[in-house]
Amino acid sequence: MIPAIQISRQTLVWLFIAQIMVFLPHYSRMPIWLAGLLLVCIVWRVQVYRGHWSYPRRPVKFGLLGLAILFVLLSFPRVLGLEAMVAFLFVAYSLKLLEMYSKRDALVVIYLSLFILMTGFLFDQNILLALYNFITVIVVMTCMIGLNQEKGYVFPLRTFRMSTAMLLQSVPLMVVMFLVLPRLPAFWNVPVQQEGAKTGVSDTMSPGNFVDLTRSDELVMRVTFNGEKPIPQQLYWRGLVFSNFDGRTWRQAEPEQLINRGLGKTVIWYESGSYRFRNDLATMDFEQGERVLDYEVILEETHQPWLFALGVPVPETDGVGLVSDFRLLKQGPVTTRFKYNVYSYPDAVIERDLPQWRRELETAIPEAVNPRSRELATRWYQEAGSDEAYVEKLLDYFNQSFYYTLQPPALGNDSVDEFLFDSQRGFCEHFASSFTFMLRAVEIPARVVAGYQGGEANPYQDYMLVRQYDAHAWTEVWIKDKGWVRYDPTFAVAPERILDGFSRAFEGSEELATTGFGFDDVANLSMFYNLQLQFDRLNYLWARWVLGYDAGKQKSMLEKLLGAYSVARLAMVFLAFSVGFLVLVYLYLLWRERDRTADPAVRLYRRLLKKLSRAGVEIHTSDTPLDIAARSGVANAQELESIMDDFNRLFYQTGRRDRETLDDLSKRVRQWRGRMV
Amino acid sequence: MARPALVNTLIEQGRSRYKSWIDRRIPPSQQVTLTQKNIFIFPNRHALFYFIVVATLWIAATNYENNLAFGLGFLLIALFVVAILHTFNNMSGLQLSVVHVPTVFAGEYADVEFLLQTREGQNRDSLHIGWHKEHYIHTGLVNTPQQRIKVPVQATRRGWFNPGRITIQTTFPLGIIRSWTHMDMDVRILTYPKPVRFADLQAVKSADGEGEESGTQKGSEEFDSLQDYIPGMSLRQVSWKHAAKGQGLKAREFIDYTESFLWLDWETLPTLGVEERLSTLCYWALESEKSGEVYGLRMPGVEVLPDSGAKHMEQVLTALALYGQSGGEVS
Repeated sequence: MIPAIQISRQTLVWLFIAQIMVFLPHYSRMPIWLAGLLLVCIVWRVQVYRGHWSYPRRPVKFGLLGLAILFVLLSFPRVLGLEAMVAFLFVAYSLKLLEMYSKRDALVVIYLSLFILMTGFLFDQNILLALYNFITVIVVMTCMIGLNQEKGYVFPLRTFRMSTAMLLQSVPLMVVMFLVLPRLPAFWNVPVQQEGAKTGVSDTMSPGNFVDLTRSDELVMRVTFNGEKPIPQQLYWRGLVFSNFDGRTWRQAEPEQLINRGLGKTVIWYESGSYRFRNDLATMDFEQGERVLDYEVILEETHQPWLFALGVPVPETDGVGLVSDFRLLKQGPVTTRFKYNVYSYPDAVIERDLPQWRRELETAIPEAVNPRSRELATRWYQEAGSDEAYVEKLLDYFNQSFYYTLQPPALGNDSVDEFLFDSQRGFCEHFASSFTFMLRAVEIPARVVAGYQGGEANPYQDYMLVRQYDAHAWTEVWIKDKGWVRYDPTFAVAPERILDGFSRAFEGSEELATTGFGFDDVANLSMFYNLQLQFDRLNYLWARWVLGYDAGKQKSMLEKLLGAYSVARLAMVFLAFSVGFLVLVYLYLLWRERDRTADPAVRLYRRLLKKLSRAGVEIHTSDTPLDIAARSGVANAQELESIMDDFNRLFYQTGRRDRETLDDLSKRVRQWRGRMV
Repeated sequence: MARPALVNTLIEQGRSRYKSWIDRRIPPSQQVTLTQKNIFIFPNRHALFYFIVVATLWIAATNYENNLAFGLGFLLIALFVVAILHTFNNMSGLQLSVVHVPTVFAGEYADVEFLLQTREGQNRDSLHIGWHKEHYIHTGLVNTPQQRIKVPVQATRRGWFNPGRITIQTTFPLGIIRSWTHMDMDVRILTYPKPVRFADLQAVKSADGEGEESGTQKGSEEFDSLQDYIPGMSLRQVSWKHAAKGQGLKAREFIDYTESFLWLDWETLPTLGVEERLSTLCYWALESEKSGEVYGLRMPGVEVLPDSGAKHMEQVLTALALYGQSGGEVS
């Protein structure tokens, strides 16, 4: 039992600070009344400390608890969700203050703090939160130290300094453990938060969808290329393929529609060390072509399962699959930053022989919508004479009479008709949608692809940033003997959008300013822009080396370090670290307890006395050097006497001591061996 | 029967023993310095809770594959290791020396005074020092390099009472690791017998007192002369008449005749056991001193000549304390 020692005032204050600090990162996720509850409990506890109020009675406590639980149940739609769990923890955390009588209760609050701190990482893992939480841990540990200080000796800042020092001293060991301690696979499936807003490209496309995205400079992903890098025109990050059109909205095909009839599967999943993936891949209609791009993507959380990759990707990460329309998919949504490796084949030819089921899927359009467009399509197709000529004719048409704008007029039910014949202004999704429709109208297989286009290189680090405003939609057309070919009608209208990237295409234009999009203003101030890039670089390194450090990376790092990965070697490394650490501590202790006497002669004399006493000579504090020599009874007493004589001379001589005498004596002391007769 | 020379020698011997012992303890060279050689360290029960928290964090981190949660867990483990060093450091280099050992009656608590020292600039927090858990002194050295502390211990037996090894311990800073040492400070508390009245003094007085020796001695019986009062003299000696006249405090000197000596004699208590006799003699000595009597002590092999005053009482009590123990007996 911890004796019921009253908690000191300083510790109590630190505890309140810790609680508020623990709460703040969760502020946006938690209902406001929880903050209120915490504050009420803090005020109550302060009043108890001051002797104004008393601890609540049992019925009051249980009443509060019941009410709080009811509120949590009402506040969260999913009671078993992570947010609700954290809210329950907070309720316990706040109410515990009202029965914090002793050191033991304070410990419960401290341990709960650490828990809630950890749950913050399940929602967000950015570098700032990590730093913030490190400071919070310092404050929490300040409380823990304060609990163990005697009442009269608590100096709040000294305690805080001590806590800071201790945690900073812990960091090296933490890093070693982080790097070498083996990671186990998850024990059971855990609920991930579902309420998180889905961001990025959505799974349907209807007019106006993309406008919101283009206003956001939020980061989508960071890409690191190993070896060859693509040119800007090739940076089409495919994410979704829209095959179903109802006249207004494009949707992805259902999984059943996409079953590879030869293989009997929609998706083939990558599995390291298994041949099944390679075998399945071999059966797909896929000619690799010459070039290959090798890269790693760190995708920010999207809460969606789709992954983005350059044209004709093959995944290299477990849990990532290749869908029959050659896009990547993750098993389960991306709820935290997700890192995956991809090989892309930009020259690859896919589906040179288009199967009938696919042709039917990619040419389907509803009857009786957009009649004017259909009519135009039929006429032009006849005029053009071939599929490719028809495509060129369409692109020419877009180039001549259309405008690229982020503020297009609203469109009605026959959206393609209205766009092509009336408004003639719009952006990627309008162009891609109507272009694809015009192709399908004459039974040319075509589909809309959504994802991101472009990306900005970070000059401080060798990687590329893709942001939300890079969101884009384009078209893939099946051409005889060429397979699926990418056509970007937006390029025909506004080529600078593709060549220079989105933000530069709109640089200086009024359009972005009026849409409330302020990134350009910032970008123009190059210092801010550089700082932003620097910070992003830090974030990138954080994501790549800290958040992305998994069992695989650990293994490869240890293999590089140790030659081969084995438990025995790992244990050796750990042992070596521990022994090295203890040796350092021992050396420090020796150094701390060293002889601090300034006079080197005295230090030397003490060394000799130590030697003598080890040899068995009894020494009393009152003994003079010659006493000892006379009484010692050692074998080489004569030499000892002569040494003692010299010591006497050194101790009692006046004036400056010359260095040589001391050096000479030091040598003789070192050489002297004590041996009893 | 009287062997004054011998008794005096004995008492001298006891004294010198005590003195040499004091001399041996108090010089700073005899201080105990805590180092890695005499400090033990081990996690205590509260470390279990700490590790339950760490284990839970680790399980959550594994399940959510969350590297920052792993980081937090590892940070706490590392902190534990660092705390071991800090806890050790809180004790290491600490110096403890005995300053004063009081004399007490058996059964009483002796407040043994120690000097706790550390190097200038080093803080020591939350040290618990004591012989028994219930009587640990909670102290520390914060912003001061030294401090005197009094550690109570119950002297249960008369004689040179050795309270055994003293415990110095700390769980600072985290409270989950205990660092401790048991030092034999060679504290020996001169413990007088517990004063208990098993028999009446009066009876003994009447049974004794027939002049064995003649002569006079300062006492309380017969008025002899008047002298200046010295603080420490019995208030019974003050001549209040003179004081009332404003002549200052004068002490009346009395003369006792030998026949009124009081022998506190072992032989007068034949029915009691050794310890009961000593307790009774102790009680009588205190009473006699209180009432200003001149008294002597006779025990087998020990005799303290009649006298009075604080110094005399100390002699008598010491002789009682050490009766039958090595150093207190006649060879």
